[in-house]
Amino acid sequence: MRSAVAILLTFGALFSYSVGVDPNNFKTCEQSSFCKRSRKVQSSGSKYALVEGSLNTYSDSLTAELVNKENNHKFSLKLEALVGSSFRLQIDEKEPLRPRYRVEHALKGQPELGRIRERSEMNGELTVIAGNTKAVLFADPFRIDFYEGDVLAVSVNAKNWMYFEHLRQKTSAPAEAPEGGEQPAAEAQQDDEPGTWEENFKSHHDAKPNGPEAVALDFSFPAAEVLFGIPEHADSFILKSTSGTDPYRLYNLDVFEYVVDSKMALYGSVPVLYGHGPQRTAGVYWQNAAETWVDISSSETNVVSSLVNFVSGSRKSTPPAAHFMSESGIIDAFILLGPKPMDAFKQYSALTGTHELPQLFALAYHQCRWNYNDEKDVTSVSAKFDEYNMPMDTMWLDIEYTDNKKYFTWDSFKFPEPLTMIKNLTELGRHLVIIIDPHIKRDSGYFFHNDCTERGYYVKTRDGNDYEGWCWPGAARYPDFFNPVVRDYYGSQYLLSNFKTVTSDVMIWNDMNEPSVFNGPEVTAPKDLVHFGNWEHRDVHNLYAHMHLMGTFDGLLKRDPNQRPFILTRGHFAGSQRFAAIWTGDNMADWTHMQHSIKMCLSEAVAGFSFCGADIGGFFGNPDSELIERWYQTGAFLPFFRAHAHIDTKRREPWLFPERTRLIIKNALVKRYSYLPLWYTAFYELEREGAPVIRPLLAHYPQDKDAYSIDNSLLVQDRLLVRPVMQQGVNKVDVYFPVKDDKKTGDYWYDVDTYQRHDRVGHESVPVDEYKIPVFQRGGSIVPKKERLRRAATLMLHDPYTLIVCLDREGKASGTLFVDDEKSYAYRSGSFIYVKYDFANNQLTNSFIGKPNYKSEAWIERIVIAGLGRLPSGATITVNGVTQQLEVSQRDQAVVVRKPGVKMDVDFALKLNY
Amino acid sequence: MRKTWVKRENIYYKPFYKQKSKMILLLIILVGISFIIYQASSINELPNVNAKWNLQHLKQKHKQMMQALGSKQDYDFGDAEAAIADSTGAAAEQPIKIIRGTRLFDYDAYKPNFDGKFSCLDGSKEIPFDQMNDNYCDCLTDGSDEPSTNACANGRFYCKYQKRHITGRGLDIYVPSSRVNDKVCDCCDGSDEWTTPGIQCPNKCA
Repeated sequence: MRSAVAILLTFGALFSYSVGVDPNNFKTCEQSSFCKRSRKVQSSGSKYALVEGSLNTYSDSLTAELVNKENNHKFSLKLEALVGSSFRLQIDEKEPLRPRYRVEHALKGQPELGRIRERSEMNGELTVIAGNTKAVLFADPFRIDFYEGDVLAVSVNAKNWMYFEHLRQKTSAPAEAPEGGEQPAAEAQQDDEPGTWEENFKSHHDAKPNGPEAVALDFSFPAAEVLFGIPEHADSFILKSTSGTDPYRLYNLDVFEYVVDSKMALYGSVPVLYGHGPQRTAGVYWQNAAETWVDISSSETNVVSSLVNFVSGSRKSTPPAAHFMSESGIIDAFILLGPKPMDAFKQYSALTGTHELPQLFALAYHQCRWNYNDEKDVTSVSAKFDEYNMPMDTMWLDIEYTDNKKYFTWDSFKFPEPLTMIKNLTELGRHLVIIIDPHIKRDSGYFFHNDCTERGYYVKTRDGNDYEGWCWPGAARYPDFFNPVVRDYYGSQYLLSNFKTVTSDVMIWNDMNEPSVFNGPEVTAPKDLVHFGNWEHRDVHNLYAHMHLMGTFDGLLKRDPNQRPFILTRGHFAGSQRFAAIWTGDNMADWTHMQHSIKMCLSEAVAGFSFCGADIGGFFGNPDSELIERWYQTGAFLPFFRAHAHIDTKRREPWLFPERTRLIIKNALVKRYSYLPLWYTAFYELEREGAPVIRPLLAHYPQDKDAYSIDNSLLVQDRLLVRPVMQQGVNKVDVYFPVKDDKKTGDYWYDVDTYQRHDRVGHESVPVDEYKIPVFQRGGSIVPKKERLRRAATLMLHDPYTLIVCLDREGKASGTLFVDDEKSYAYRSGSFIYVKYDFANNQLTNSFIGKPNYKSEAWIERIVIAGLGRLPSGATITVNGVTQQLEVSQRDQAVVVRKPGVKMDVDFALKLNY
Repeated sequence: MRKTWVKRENIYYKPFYKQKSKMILLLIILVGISFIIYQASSINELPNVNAKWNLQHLKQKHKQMMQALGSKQDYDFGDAEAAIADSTGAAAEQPIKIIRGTRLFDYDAYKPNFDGKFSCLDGSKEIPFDQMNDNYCDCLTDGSDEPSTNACANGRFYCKYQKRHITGRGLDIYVPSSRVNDKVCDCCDGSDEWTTPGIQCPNKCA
């Protein structure tokens, strides 16, 4: 939605639009004292070693002691083998002064432990084998190598950049000589450094009562060539080297008019990073909710060094590596050993979970704006979509619907009868989503504020008072969602008995939950606030949005246990995908932001957040008609499909543009709606298998080195290749067709508009017009579609399906389809149809995965087959032993089988006759 | 310096009302309009003798016509065989049945042509007559082969209630085919929801 610094809004749009964010409002590594200290280790290295004789192995794990040889401080290490080729490495102080924070609620449950098959020890190396993977521990200097098969995939602390600041007492006079011999000189000097026991940034003071407590560790990926992950950054999909620049930063921040190609922190933080090479893909999930910086050393070699390597015949000397540096907490790292990209993504999903199957309407088109002014506005926008026969499923209300930004209330002048308005929408099959933010207006007439004040539900300052910041309502306070009682209280506000002016069809948008505090340091809450359990905000910052979502999700589930909740969030952490969809925040109406919507969502998708999209048209600024046309076409192939705009922008509903633009937008919407069965099936398979819905090319073409850096295209599952047009005024775009194996062959790709086949690999120039963006279906796949147009996706429930069969080189294809009631949790108890279609030897058959146990009125309307050599004379369908002849005709370069007419839960075989 | 002659109009602005010719023209128009209004208001006072132009009579006739039209527009089953049977003309006395979702104007177009086929209204294609209205879109360009179903994305469903002006003028009332049987009552008479179970559309036609 909107972004911080309300004052800036008054400064006139033009000025701020052209300038973008002021980077001086946010810290650099140099200004963040722990980052500076942790990064310093990169030049000197550290000296950690395993303590001899401290090793203990158990059936699923091993423990050991670790010592910092510079100050003899002891640490305890625990390495657990997890099922599915993963390990978990935890390092904490052996006897910390106070307990250190361990992240809660990010994992979807206790990870399932694997079994250590074997251990062996020889000359200072301890090897443990679990499944197909093994870990080799080296005592001095401390290092752990993780192997998948026999390939070294991840090496922990190979660079000796581990850094662990133990908790300490503040020396009374730090300037004086260290007392006794307890504190070595180096450390005393470090304590002395500014920023260690207190830190200032701009006018903000951070008290830092616990002193230095940073943790850092490096991970090398010897089998990898590129690194990707750690969203959310407005940067390329492949991580760039950070030598000479600031590291990538993970700290949930409300960045006003963020700039692209930047390593600055944005609204969400997902500390999972993958290393990928032709043979192996491995990942590291660094579970830490404090501010985190990640240094990337890439294996990019310059000409000279590659020449040297070529001459010497050696492999490049330094593999790509990542150095995670967090301000507090413990080292808690999950090593995901692949070996293929999809394996690594699924291993991460197994830990932190996936978005559950959303209601179908959530995958359809959302119409949003800050703000739809009143009931009449909402109703008339909805009616206009009908007038122009454009499908639309959800109307959104931003903050202005509330009574003075008091959430759970309505502005009684603009929205006197919300229930009537909601009924008018739901009668048309549409939904309403309203915003509920975490800042609570300080207003003695506001029940929520009064309850929270009386019961002490707010986040506290260091001296125990309720923390007060400045946000949309003016003076606002922030509920401490880390307290389960507060989450319950907050969740219960959604019950229809409490929130009487909505229905259970109204879904929720949680914004500003980084948290955004306009007058706070870096537009967020100060780090020395105190949360439930006496943890500092410093320890838990990146989790605040996550806890907010937990409360919302729980509340919506209690409100209607039979309806799958839909929540949109801006702030997020690892695991938040279990509760909510995300969008890329407050982008701008320009072409580069549109290009970054693909890059950012791909990074989010591999980090668990498949349900991702960007504000269509750009939040700030006014898009011209070409930009908005192209943006709709692009957005139609991202999972979350919503148009949104800032309050200061011109109205931009499709009919306010020239007719040409309106028709192009309608075309994009219709295309999106026709592919809804594919999106829905993909989300079911996300929940079932943990496979991302949208994927980078390398997910399925891991050996194609040229495909690694392609982030202007995306795959929808492994079925569609989408290359949106994201430049102004072009009549052709460059599409990259990936290589499947080392023999330089690729898949067949069929243009979804004409069924024209592409069988070349590499870059190819594809002509486009204003209606067309290049979308290809992979030869060998079957895509379910619904080609009948409705005004909303919910009304398509019983509409017939079309199957698009695209044949591969062997004349085969297969694909799945998931059918259920598109709304309730009945599918969890088996009420669904999950069917796989196979085409081979001129015959299409279906087979059910699980028992087809849902009564659907839908049927198969037509089957389109692309890639047949010649036109068949007809087709014969056999259902329950009864055969029937079907007509076959040519459409573009495909063959259409007319009206098979079989229901979805019936076995059939359809044979083409020649 | 040489003197130049300047048009008077370019120096003084002459207001509209001082231009005599325009004012006269305006007067004539106003008189004309008031005369027509006067004539129109007294139209009902014309003697009854000239029954052909009597407004009451016209009104009555229109009413009869609309009623007849209404009974003619009694939909048949929306299925092709009935239309064929109808076309054989066995039942001359019965009201004309038109196919659900078509308009009387297109009555003849929804009959088999000389080859016994249905040709799309835009003439783009001919299809076997039994493929007309069989819930599968064949006329891709205009969607005209599926007047009663929602199979064609670009088709039209003409509501049963068609409002006509007394002179017979008026726009056809229709909804896009996508609104047929979608559980939402779109035609004021609810005729677009004809297979939807459990949906009772109230008749809201004025």
